[in-house]
Amino acid sequence: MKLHRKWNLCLQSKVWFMLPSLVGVSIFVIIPFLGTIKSSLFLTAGNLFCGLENYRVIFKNEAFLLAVKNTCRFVGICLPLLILISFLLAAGIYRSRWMKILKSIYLFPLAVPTAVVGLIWKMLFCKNGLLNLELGKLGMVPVDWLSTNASFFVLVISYLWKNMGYTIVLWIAGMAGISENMLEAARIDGATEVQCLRYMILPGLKPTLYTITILSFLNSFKVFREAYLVAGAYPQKSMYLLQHLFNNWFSNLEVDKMSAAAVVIAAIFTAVSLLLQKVWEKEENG
Amino acid sequence: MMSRKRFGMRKGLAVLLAGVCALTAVGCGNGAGGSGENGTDKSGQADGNGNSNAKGRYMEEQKEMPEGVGYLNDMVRLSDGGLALVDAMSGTIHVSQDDGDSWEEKKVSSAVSLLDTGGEITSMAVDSSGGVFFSYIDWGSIGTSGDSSEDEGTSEADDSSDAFVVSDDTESPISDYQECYRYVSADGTEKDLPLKIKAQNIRLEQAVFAGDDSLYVMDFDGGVYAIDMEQAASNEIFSLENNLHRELCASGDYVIGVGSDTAVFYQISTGEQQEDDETFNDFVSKELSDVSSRFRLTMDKDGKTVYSASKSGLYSHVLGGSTMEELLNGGLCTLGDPTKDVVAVLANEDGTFDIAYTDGEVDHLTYDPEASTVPEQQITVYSLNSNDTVNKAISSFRKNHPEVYVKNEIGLTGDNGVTSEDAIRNLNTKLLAGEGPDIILLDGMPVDSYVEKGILADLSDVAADLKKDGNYFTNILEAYKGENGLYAMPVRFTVPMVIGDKATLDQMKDLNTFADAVEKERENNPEIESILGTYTAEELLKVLALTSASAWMKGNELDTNALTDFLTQAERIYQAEHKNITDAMVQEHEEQLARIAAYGINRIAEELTDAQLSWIMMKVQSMGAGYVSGMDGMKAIASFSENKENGASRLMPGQMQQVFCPSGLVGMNQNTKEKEVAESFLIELFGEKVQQSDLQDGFPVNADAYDSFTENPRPEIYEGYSMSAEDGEEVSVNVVWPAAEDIAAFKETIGELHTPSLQGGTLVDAVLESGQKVLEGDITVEEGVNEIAQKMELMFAE
Repeated sequence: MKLHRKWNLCLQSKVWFMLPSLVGVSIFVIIPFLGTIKSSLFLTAGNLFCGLENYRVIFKNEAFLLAVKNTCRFVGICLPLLILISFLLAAGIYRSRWMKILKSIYLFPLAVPTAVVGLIWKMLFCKNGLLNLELGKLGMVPVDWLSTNASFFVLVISYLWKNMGYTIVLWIAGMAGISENMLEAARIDGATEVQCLRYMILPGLKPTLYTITILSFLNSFKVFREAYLVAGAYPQKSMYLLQHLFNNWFSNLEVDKMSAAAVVIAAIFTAVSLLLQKVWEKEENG
Repeated sequence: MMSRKRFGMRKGLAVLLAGVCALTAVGCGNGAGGSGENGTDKSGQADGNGNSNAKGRYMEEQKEMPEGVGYLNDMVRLSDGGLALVDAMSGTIHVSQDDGDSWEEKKVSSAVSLLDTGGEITSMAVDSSGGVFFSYIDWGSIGTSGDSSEDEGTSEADDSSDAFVVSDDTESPISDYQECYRYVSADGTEKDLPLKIKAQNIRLEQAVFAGDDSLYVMDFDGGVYAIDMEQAASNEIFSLENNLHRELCASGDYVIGVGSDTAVFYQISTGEQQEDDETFNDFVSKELSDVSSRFRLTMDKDGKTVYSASKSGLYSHVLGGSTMEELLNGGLCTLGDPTKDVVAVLANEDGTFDIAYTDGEVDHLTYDPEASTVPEQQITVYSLNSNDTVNKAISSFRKNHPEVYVKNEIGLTGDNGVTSEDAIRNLNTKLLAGEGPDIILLDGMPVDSYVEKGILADLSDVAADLKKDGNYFTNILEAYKGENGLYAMPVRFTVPMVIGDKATLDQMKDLNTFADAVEKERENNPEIESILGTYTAEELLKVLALTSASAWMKGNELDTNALTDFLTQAERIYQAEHKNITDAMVQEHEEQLARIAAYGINRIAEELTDAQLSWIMMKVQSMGAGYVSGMDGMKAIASFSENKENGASRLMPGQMQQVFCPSGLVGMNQNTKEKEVAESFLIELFGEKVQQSDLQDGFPVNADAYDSFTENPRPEIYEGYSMSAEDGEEVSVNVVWPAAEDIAAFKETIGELHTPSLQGGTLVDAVLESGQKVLEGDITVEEGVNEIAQKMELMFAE
């Protein structure tokens, strides 16, 4: 009887449910990350302990600071733009009879291989590309999109184009989760469409917004693939992202600096995610 | 109760995490740690490649080489059990009755006398009785009349109304000829064969006897014919037309034609072709991706299994089966030697193999069930691209150290979409894990980072050992010597040269005067297509960068003044160079490159070859510039002086002078567990035996090897060609070997080279990219320099 009870307690324990993912996360994330922290405290050459020297070096490293600045700028501009535009488009096509077709059209960029996207960007944005051809017809001066500061906006457009469809689908899924009966009842009670949006639809889309924000934030780092294919390891300064830096550091075996930067970035990401979660939870509870 | 339960859970969690940590720690442990500090474990394994217990390997035994071999065409097993080697170049058959331990030379008298009078043997084959068939063109009797009917040796053929017809309406008699055929039986009886194959200018590529002694030949168009020697009749059985690579083999009941991506198995007894064998065709396609590769086949006694011998090794395949079985890797036998071309493989009834090479080497392969699958001691040589000198050194090292397996790891195989950056990252991962290769070919790799991070070992001792045992061009061998040691040594090097009118070359001292000279050439030759023979901005920049790239860095900073000057002068040269070049010409040029690339030849714009000589003679260009990588380039330079009045050559001037381009920059892993073996391999790599081979990848750094390297291997052969120049004039070109004094003078010049050219890397790539825009007028020189400087700024900031 006593044994049976203990067995039941064990079964009820959440530990067993955590076990598979815990093992996976430990092997593939936690322990390698501990190794990264260790590497950040040593010099690659000679494997000598150097304390926080690598951290001091990266905060004085102009390439690192530029990459952080560009990455923050990119995320700061792209994220709000993507969330807002995709929400407006989702609201526009929700309940439209063309919704299915439009959804497929918006999702199309996701199906295009990165190599093809890179080629298309080159054809579009090079100095003698299609975009300048059209601009020339309008009497505008051709812009060297990939070799000037304009290259940053090429990156922004690329990100929005690629992720818009997916985000719209997420918004539509969130909208479909809001009860039609509840909205109907509010309208019968005299609520206007704006009031419905303000007090019922938007609060109902909060969990979706959280998901979209996190996913879009993570996807923003994938734009490197297109940037790399279009402009290589050393692109125009405004296109230079953290991934360029990490990629080049790894090629040059700058493991010490790379580890220190990775620890700093991971700390920032964790802090931002926790902050977002906290804000959300506070609003949910409040 | 609750608290005890929670405590129990925490305890369980702690134990679990500790277990995970322990497991992972074991997983992450250094493999070398498990096998001891000295890299050997209990089983005596040092390589850790998991082959410790696998046994069984074909062991190679080199047989006595027959003397006086010119160029072997085939090897056959005679009906009395002897081996016969066919040497068409000297009209000789070498026969051995003791499986290659000794050879008896049998000259085919009529073939020898034909060769003595300037004739050419186009194909030769031996049947199992020792009878010899050969096809020939009697150039000596063709003379200038174009009529070969007076040739006594072909009287029988000429009597036939269906014999080859010599065209009367051609201007050049040499372009029409009559190929004749003869069979000399084992007892010496000669018989001319008035074969009817095609009407005009036939030239056999290969002839083979099948197991039943029936004759099969392949012509230059790829048509394969069964020959009835009694009736002097031919019957086309299949064709390998449209295949860039063609080979004909016969074994037992099969005649096998090998095309670029297909093999045709024709069964003699049924007169039918076997169905396409997809597995084998895929294999053929992969093996023959380089059109110069050799690929020889033989069948087993039952005609069910085919054996192939090529650079990658010896393979077997059951016809219609789905696998290719590797019997012996090319790296473990002579097949992998880039200086050897396989000419025949024989599968013997006792399970052994005999393999013959064009230079007369015959190897006997015997299966030893007790030998390890690969030798237990192993070192790895890593390079981004395959390097022929390394392959030669591996083959040579294997013969001297059969107990060591040298694994050749290539980063860019071309069949998996891996880029050089991917390959370098993969290599870095291995190096950081302590599992890197022992020897690294550093071309295209971040050498400075590797030195800075302590990845590379100091090779000063190796260089000292080399210099103790031989003479080296130390200015090149130790060109990368720094304050802290010598971490990289070039295995070979190329030399940037320029050819043109002597008076013009005399004015060229640096890049500015180079540009002046090109502009002047354009003034003097306003109608000529190009000056240097480059058709795109990128091609021109690559040529000019050879002798200027080293000037773009001043210490650890970019020298923007040097860069501005380079782009300014490059722009001047481009303007003069491209004055007459139209878009259609560029397109035609690119199509031409694509065409020759289909033959596996990647013409590199910055290489000075006989192609540039031809174009100068054809008045398509007036000068030539680029690096010279071997005796073909030297021949082009010597031939230029021979054929062109006032033609001369000089070291190519640029922003730097006395420049050489390192080829095969080699380094050793600081953490190699096989330091002694790796050093021995380096000694072999830089040794005279390896360095004396001209593999068209550069001159030897071993000065002792230079003399053998520059020796004419076939002084008896006359080379030359004729063609029509742009103005319609008939131009004849004598291709000559450089004179002894020129070779000696060039050796002295090599001894004075001191500046290694900067090759590849971010800076050169950036200059090529932005420079192209400058030359094509998209941006100004200043904008181009700024663009490059900005990229470099990022790199330096990292």
